[in-house]
Amino acid sequence: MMKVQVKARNRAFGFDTGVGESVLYSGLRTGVALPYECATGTCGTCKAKLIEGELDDQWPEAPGRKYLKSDQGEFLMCQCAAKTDLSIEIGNFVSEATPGAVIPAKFTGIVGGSRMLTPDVKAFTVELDRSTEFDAGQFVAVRFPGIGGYRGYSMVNFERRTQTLEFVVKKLPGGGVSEWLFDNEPTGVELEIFGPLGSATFYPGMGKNVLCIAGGSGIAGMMSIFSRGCQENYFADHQGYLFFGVRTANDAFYLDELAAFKAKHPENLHITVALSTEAVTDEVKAAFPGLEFDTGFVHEVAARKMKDHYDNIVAYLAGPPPAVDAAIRTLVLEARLSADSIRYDKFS
Amino acid sequence: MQDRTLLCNTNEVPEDGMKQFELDDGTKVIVLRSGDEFYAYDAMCPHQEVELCEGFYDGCVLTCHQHLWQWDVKTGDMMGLAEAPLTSVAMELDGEDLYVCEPVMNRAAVGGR
Ligand SMILES: Cc1cc2nc3c(=O)[nH]c(=O)nc-3n(C[C@H](O)[C@H](O)[C@H](O)COP(=O)(O)OP(=O)(O)OC[C@H]3O[C@@H](n4cnc5c(N)ncnc54)[C@H](O)[C@@H]3O)c2cc1C
Ligand code: FES
Ligand code: FES
Repeated sequence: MMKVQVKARNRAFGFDTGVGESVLYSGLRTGVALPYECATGTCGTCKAKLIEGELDDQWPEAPGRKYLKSDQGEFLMCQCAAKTDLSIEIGNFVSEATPGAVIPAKFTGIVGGSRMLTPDVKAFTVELDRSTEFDAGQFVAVRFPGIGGYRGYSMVNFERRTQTLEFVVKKLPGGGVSEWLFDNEPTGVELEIFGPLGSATFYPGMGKNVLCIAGGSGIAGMMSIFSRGCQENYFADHQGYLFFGVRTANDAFYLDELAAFKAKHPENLHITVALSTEAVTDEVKAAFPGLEFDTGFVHEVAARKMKDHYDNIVAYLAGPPPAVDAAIRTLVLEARLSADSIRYDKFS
Repeated sequence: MQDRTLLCNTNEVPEDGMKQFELDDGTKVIVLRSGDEFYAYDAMCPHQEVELCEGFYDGCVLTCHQHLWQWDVKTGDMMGLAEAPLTSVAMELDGEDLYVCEPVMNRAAVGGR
């Protein structure tokens, strides 16, 4: 074990870290709310400055490094482990984890089973070595055997305490996990898991109408949010709007599950599938009478249909970064939502 | 008179819009327009190495697209989620031309605002 001493904008604190363990993960698991977003090397949010000690940078090519001033000793906490005791500085305010929030931890998991949802979308379940809690909208970092680094995947299911996590993965051609997952039957494979992570979370206590805008596999966390909302009868007295963007009707999935949500609260749930490159056919509409279909980019369809419905809204956005950025722009500039009512995960 | 460098002509910055300019020494400055008023700041977000011109501006409030920090463009003061103010750039309007004055950025002065 080594020691990490942190000087944040508002206070100083310390925690222990193990060999090969990222500074970010070791801090988070001891209950310190270190800044992060993707936890996997792309966003730059976890930057810190090395004052003293030696780092083991496990992914020097991480895209998130472009947001750093490396000549000033800045590094990504999610990609660097300690080689010696460390003294580091973080420019942000860092609080203790919010009371009641689940503290992330390391798990091992075994893939329980998988099924193809479309030719490039696969769903699978993972049985953890012990049960955990998580919040609807959260993700975990997953390490697959023989593939370098962790990948973020959002939970699709919601149960307050569970040993089974459900995921959905959209194939990224040429991607490490993608190629492996789509070429192999993953059942029985052992995974390393760190989580739960992420603050794009939904709690029934917040008492707000819910707007979800998802591009592709970004639907994962929204399924969890709508599951929780339906389980706890939240949509009996709150509105829920969900926009699911895909290229064509053949790329859509979870339509039966979405129709089942709608059937529970037909008055208050409004679920639209936006097709970006194809007109909507009568056949598709007839197959899912509870769902609405529209043509256009998902943020455009959402902007059109949400006019005059932004009252008391909290918005959740997830999917490829360009889709999330476009939706944020619409919500900030057109809907004039305040920044703290927009929660998002960029799947970069 | 102070040393000053020509930055741009006012009509290069759209009404209620923003534009980034680079000085000869590589310093990047963002100019924002609110009606007929002009404001200049360090073009990089005070949070991370992200260009503010990639963000959103409605004529009053500037939002960085990366983590949604926001600022009142008239003062550079933080709003919403922001944890640091914008770094102002000393500037002069002379006819239709905007000039930046030396020193361009007075970072030390910012914290005391
Ligand atoms: C918060 C979050 C939630 C996400 N949820 C989902 C989801 O529910 N469904 C879904 O399909 N996708 C999701 N993603 C995207 C997902 O994490 C992967 O980026 C995507 O599946 C492509 O992975 P790949 O291995 O095929 O591609 P690759 O291009 O091989 O890798 C993609 C990512 O893995 C990491 N990585 C790659 N190589 C290394 C290395 N050597 N060392 C360390 N890290 C490395 C990086 O973060 C990289 O961007 C999410 C992403 C984030 C950030
Ligand atoms: S949290 Fe480390 S780069 Fe995103
Ligand atoms: S980089 Fe601008 S808000 Fe984080």
